[in-house]
Amino acid sequence: MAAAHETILFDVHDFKVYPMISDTGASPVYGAAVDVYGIAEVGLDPNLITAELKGDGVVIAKKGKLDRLNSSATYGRLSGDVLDVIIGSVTTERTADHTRTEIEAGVSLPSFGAAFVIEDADNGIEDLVVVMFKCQITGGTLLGQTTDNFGQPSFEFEAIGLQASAFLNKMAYVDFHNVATGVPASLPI
Amino acid sequence: MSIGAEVKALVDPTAVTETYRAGYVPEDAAFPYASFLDPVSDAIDLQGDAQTLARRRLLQVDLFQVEEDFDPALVDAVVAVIDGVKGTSGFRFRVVDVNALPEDDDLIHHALTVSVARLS
Repeated sequence: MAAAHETILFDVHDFKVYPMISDTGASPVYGAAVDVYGIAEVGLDPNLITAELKGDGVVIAKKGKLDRLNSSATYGRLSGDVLDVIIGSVTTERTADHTRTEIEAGVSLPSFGAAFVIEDADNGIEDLVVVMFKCQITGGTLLGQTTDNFGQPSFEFEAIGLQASAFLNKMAYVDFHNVATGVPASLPI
Repeated sequence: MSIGAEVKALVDPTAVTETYRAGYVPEDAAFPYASFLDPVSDAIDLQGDAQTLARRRLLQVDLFQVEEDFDPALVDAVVAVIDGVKGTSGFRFRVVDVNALPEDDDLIHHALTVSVARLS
């Protein structure tokens, strides 16, 4: 069977983030994947830069570029390990009974990779895997809570292209898999 | 212990003399009397990773009192022993509503709707 180029989509099944250690040399280097538990909502929106030339009362020319992808994630469990990857906090087990996630002002935002998988697709397609290689958080609600309701943390982020030479300008992959793969165990792929 | 049994155990120490897990008043019931309907509903409350992560269960506690001995404070007392108590599921019981229901006999009937979340 030929590999598919299209599919319907239903639900979202898994989401992981990967701390980016470097984006130099031939390949980017990432730390171990961190599961974003209980992924409930994801998005992928192009961010376009456009310019146009007007003259004689009409648009004579248009030029546009896709320069980044805006994305978001809403998930089900507050996780210090996820915060460490996306905002650069430091989570440590201070005692056997106490873990602290320490957030400092003035720390440069880290870059990270992100990937999610949608497993309910057309017959014959097992996984649709989306990987974004170089992301940075742009906003979100890392902890929001109301009385007698489950909280769902969320964050928004944007992905840009890589600088590492073998992956130059690679921003994201959207992979249609005929066999189940899940989200990548590690990056890069 | 089931969630319904947990709620029953909370109500037991009140002035309610008999409790049964059923939705009716037996002929030989002694009053005040409470019955328990569990569950009234058990709906998905949180989803993620394409799974049900948590559910919310609604239970009903029916409190019956004889009209001539009616004590409104007993309704409040039953609410108080349930509302805000942390169950074995790790979540708190909430009495979300109390309704007075008409009865044919000389009974005063209050139905308490109890809500509690639980992880799947």
